[in-house]
Amino acid sequence: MPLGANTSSVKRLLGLLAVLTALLLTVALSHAVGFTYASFNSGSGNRTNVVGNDSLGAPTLAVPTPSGAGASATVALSWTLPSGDPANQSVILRGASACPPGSFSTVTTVGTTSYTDTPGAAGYYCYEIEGKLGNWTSQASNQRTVTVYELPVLIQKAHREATAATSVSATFSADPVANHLLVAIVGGMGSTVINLPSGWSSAINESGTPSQAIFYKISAGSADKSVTVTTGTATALDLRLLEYSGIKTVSPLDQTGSATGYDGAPSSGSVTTAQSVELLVVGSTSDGNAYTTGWSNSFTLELDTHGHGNNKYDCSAADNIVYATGTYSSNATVAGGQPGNWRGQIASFKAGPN
Amino acid sequence: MRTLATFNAQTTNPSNVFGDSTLTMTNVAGTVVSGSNCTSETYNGTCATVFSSSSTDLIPGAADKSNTITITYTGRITTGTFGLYAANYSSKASGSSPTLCTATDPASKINLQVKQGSTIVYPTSGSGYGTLAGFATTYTGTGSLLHLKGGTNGSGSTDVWATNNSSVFTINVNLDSTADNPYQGCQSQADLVWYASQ
Repeated sequence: MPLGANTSSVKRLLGLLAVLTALLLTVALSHAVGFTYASFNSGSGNRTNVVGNDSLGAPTLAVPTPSGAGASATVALSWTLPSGDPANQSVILRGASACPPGSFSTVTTVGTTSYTDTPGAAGYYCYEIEGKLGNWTSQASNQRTVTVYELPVLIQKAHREATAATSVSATFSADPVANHLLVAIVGGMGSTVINLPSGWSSAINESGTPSQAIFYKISAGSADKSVTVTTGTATALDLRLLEYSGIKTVSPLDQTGSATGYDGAPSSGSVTTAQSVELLVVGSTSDGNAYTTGWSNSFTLELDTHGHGNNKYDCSAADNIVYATGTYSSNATVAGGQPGNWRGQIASFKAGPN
Repeated sequence: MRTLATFNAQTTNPSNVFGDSTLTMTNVAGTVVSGSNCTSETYNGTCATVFSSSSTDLIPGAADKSNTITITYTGRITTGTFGLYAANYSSKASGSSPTLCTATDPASKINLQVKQGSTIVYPTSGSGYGTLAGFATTYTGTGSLLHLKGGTNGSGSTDVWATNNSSVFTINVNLDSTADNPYQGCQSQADLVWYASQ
């Protein structure tokens, strides 16, 4: 190839390269200018900011503590809020049945974590607590069932004694109220079998010298106004009748106890109750000269009959309402001599509701 | 309007980025809840998170929960647009309690106030509170900004930020006293994006 031809080719090539380079530079510069000034912006971000609302946790309701019975009974409630919970109040809710009730009613709202409620009547109640803060209320606490027992009340009492007889009858002054508890305490000065009247139940029935029984039944009403008790052999008899309201109508009897002795003050024996509110009924029969003037440990003497000389005897009935489970007994206080042979008995009956 | 895609393109050309990115700023939180401050100038930095569910724990009618963000403009070019918007907004964020939070729009009860210095810039009425829902659905991007004044703490003109202009922004939030049970355990989420352009 001639040198001139080569030189010419190189020049053409260099010329083309120069044109291409110029084009590329032009494109590059125009892009750079456009990029810089047409699209220029900047920013910074504070990312993933979360604004969270607090919430109220469910309180925990401790086992309530009922006190008393009937309309004046109280229920002590205490509860805890979850740790760090923002609730500044608590709503106390009560349902009128065992848990779970059909509905709850608000008792009150308090700024504390304890409250003593007075439901106002015997019955079963269900409690729960809600935390509160402004418009917020928490989910409800656990539920607790509370039993407010009825207050047993002596409605009426009656008494009759018989000498050397095999039966004795006593009559209430008024018709007993249906579903009330009737208690019959029968004493025989001698050793005899005491027969259970039809329709009645025996709490305790002991023969000896003296003999005594405590019978009971849930009243059917006017048909139970009079009661007759018979014995196996003739002896001096004493029948004491008592009518109480506020006792369970199903399986009312809880426990019985008894004691016997000679001289010294009669004792009831003891019972250990299974329910907090119970009626304790005590009866005693003795063949001595002494007569009962009272019973210890807050028992109330309800009936006492006694004779002297050739017809010496003493029969009494007493009762007490207790508000806590425990072991209970009572001793008679006597006057007028020594009681002689005596038998004391005690029966405990469960307050309602069933 | 260019977005982060433009910046991503810039990163492929370092000389363009640093030669041209004169619209930069720093972003420093009063309290860093998580992440870290952008104390060095940035044009697209992810800076500190200023609120978290645990740092707020709002209850109805209670006092504000607050944090501050100091924005300092470090660019060499005076801006033509400068503002704030919310991104990645969720009124009912995934952290909400599925059992307690039954409100459909929890952020509607989150009262929000943004101050630039001592001046309330949101709500734009200059007083009281708007809501997070209102803010986040109004200021949704670079085309819908809460425009901010330059100078020191907003002493200048709207959108005009010159080099070293700086403002302390205070973000106040509270839960409205009318928020009832459905608002318990709710969480609302949003990014705060500070935007500048020529």
